[in-house]
Amino acid sequence: MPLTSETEERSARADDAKLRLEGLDKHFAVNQGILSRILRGESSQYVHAVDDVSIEIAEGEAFGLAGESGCGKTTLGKTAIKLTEPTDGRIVFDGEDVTDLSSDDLKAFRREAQIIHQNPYDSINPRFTVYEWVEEPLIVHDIGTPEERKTRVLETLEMAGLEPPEAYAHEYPTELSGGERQRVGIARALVLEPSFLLADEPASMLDVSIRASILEVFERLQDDLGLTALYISHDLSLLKHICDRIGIMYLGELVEVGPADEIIDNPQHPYTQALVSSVPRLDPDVDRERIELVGEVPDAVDVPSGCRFHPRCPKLVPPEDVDLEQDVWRAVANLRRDLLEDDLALTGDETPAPEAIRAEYDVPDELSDPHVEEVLSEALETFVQSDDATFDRLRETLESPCERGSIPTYQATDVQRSQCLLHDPEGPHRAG
Amino acid sequence: MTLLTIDGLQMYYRSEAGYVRAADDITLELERGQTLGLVGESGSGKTTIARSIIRLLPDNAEVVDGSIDFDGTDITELTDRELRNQIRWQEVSMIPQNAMNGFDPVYTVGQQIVQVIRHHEDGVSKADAKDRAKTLFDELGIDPDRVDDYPHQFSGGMAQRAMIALALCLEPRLILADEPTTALDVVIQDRILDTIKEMQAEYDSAMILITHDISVVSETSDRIAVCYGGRIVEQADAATIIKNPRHPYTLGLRNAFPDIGDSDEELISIPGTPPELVDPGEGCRFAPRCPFAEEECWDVTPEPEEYDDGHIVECHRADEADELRSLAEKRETWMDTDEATPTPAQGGDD
Repeated sequence: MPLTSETEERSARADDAKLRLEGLDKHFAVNQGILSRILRGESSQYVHAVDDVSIEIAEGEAFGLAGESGCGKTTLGKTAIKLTEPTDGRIVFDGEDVTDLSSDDLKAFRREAQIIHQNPYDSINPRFTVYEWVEEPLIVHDIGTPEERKTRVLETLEMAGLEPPEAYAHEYPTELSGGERQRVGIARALVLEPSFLLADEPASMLDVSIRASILEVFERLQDDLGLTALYISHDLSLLKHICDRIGIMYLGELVEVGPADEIIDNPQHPYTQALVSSVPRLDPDVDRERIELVGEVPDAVDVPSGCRFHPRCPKLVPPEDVDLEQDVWRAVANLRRDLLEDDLALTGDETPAPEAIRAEYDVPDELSDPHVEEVLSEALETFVQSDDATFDRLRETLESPCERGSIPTYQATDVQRSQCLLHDPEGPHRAG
Repeated sequence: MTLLTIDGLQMYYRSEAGYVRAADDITLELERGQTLGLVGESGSGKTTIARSIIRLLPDNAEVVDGSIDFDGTDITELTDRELRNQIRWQEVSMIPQNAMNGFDPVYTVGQQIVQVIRHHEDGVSKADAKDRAKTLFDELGIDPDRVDDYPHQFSGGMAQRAMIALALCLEPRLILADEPTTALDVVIQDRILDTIKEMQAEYDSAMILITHDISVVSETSDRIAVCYGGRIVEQADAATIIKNPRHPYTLGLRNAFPDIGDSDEELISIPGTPPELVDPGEGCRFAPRCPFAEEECWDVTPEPEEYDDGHIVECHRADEADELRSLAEKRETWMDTDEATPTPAQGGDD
């Protein structure tokens, strides 16, 4: 059953939610020019950076967002703390709707929600001393007298692990190592005593041993100050260690969410499974079983219909009446997709023989399902003559349920939610 | 059969303050077709070691002592011209970290591969060279027609694969891969590493893989050498380094590294900062950060000691490894070090 009860569940737990995102969208227009729209008749296209994402982060929780580059995790994070405006959806922070704040309220919100940047080399103004850099937010928000500010800055530097703080206060960033700079970035975020931290790849630029010490700082801050944190990283091993829950994103959508250990040890969504399977293991005795994916992440402007992962998914659901081995079905689906999009990956010959095309796509010469065989071979024959009727037949009879409509989010296990038809308790063919 | 023997190599950089001992007394061997993983923090000397093999180093680099024997030739004795014509790219090629920077943006990728082939092999026509580039592209899973594309038309993963094609087009006997997948996502990283391994097996090439990701070397390498402060502090077969390390730095590195296969492990950082390499003085370079350092460690540079099966360790207390290993798992152990907190004065000040 699809989780339409999400709203009910939400209101039941609304009290302990620090941050709640409801159906958040963020689209970027690709073609904004009015001239090209009028003169060239181009319609505006959008990059679907974030599409209909709902997440709830509890007070004091460490939530991790993972996914490949371009999946929208950074955009989601920035939208969540209003560094960019959402296209649609609601952001609820501490029980208050912050989606459309006036500039005064927004300033107050900024005190509560702070960000730590990825690159400690680029995110500190080189002309500021450490002290000035950490003090600046206090001045902007008009907090305290100069003496009070001084105490606060030094305390915060110490909290971020820069000890003794007096020794660091008058250094310029160029005099600091990467790890120390990252601590300065942390101190600047913390000096306003926020209750929520967004850390975007907080340790990816640092060496292993320093990385661990930065993560220690985060863990200590969460324990001591009860901070809520949203960590964004492509590094699943890291998220597994510092987060309570992890959300996996693919092409702007949240495909799976659940407790960190479960996401890694018992992933439910086929994409999460593939992602986890490609992380190298330290233990030389573990023989990792790797899940191969077809192709690369598609363009976020022209997103696939239905489940966005369906063109690459190894577990793509076949139509109900199709009877093929899963890998043969996947091969047929790849060939079908390229035929319909007139995008056959072929080298050399202008009009290749059907056998050659089949071989290129690893499709057997004779499929075990006679009906599929008939539809496919007809399409391959007429491919040369391009007959629309046979192509329509190919499109309709071999359409996977994964390509249709929008895919609901299901409760895949007691603790994990997954946006995949395979988790529909009534089976993947229940008309979507 | 041994392909590469580096013996007592001292590759220093001249600076105003004196020599920076970036690679100090490096000794290692590499068998034909074998993969050696070089791990360590930035500034540990791993890139200097690899680059010194094809002399791709800044002008102020200088071989002060030692030799690099590549299949019977001492590379340090060659002139620049000999090295360029006989060794570089033809025998030893390199896959850099960022492929986008490795290509010239104004030529198509195909033109660059053709140029490399024709520079090193006499009498190869442009068309033949281009065909070879296309075949390589095909083997690496790139559409062969894309040889006519410019580097900016490639995605990151694709560019990295094209760089592998460039590195492999002369079927070198040794590939130097310097963080070849660090800039890439895991799914693509996994594919690229797999491709490199396949091609390496096909050409029977040896490889030196430089990375900070221990799990990558653990899966890819036959042997692992751990670099610290310009020295190789420990080297052994991959499984031994991962499961039975003897050097405290290796133990610390292992503690600091999050492993996806481990459920409840606690990450423990190594306090302090890497040593200054200008005039580092006597004594073990890890001593200031080492929780097990004794008086001897501060005064006497440890000699490499061989344990079973080519497990070579530079540590005065390597005999007590079993005991140290269990101590090293505890967080308290790493908190009592003298320099537990870094100071702005660059750590290892005496």
